[in-house]
Amino acid sequence: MRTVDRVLALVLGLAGLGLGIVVAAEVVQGLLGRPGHLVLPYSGTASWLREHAWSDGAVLTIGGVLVAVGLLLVLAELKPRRKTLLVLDGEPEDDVVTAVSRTGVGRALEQSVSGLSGVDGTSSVVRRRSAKLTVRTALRETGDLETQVRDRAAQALAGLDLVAGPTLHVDLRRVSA
Amino acid sequence: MSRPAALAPVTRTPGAVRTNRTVLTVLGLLLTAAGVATLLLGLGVLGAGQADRTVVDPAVDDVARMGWFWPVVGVVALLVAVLSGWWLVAQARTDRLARLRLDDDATTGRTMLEGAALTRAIEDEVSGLAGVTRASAHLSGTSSAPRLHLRVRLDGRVDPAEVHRDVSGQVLEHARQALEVQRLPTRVELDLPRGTARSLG
Repeated sequence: MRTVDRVLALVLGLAGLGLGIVVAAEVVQGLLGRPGHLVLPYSGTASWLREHAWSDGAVLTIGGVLVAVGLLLVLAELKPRRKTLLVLDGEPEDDVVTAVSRTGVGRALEQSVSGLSGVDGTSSVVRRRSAKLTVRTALRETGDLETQVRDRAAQALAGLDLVAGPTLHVDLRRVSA
Repeated sequence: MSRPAALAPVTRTPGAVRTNRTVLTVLGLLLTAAGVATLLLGLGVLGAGQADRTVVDPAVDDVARMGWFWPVVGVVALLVAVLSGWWLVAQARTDRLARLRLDDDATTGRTMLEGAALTRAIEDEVSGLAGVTRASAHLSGTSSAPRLHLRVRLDGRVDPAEVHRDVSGQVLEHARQALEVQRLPTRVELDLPRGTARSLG
């Protein structure tokens, strides 16, 4: 959301700055008694507003859009930020906090099993409380591959020494060679 | 002291993040209020007579003809421009600590330390650790209470917990000595490599 907020801030900030200056200039132009407009062709908008009643479909639609956009913005901004970093336990240095991204944990899991014979591909999805490791194999008989994968991945997860390690789930998928 | 299990990523512009969140929430509330008012007027909730009036009717024109109206509009527009400019400037503000004051005494003088000099030394030391390919550091906070943010890219050949121990132990101890502080609150983000893992085809 930070990036979206940053883009919105730049766009709306520039729009507000430009519009504020232009409107102020138009007001000065009007107060000086000069006819016409400087930059903003506002006469068309003013005519439209004089021709349409509050109950017109177009006005009601604009009202609905304003409510929808406003609520979307408020809900998006009030939503708590995603905690994508998992904290390592490690040494009890109380002024040092070390963390690894959930993607990084997934990479560690994938790497731990990638060297196993019979593993042809891996992918992972790590959340705060669960980590799913998907392993593809072309082996017709998988034997104890799933056990090996589970052991290696569990060892890698334990090696990270997370404060609250996610529960590991292994999904072994057979694919054609 | 118990550690949190999960954290949000750190940002170098926490002020801008907070400002954006506040300003966009206020804008959202204003848009919602304007939309609700339009719907209430248009649907006749505030009276059928109101719903049939045009958005800009003669009563609004009468107000616009009053002497104070357009100067007020001009001042509000300028205020919007100034606030928008301040909002834009806020985007560039970081929490980086460029210089630290180590000693400030009228008789012995003032000792300053460039933040970049310290962070470069930390980066070099961390980069030299086994299992680390790259490191970047920056300081935030104040001279009297600095905070260190460290991002470490690993090569995948050494346990992250081991790198964590090395950083917490030797590297941060050297940083504390350099800053002459007992405590240096530090946030370390370890970046694990994709390594030899293969993706699903």
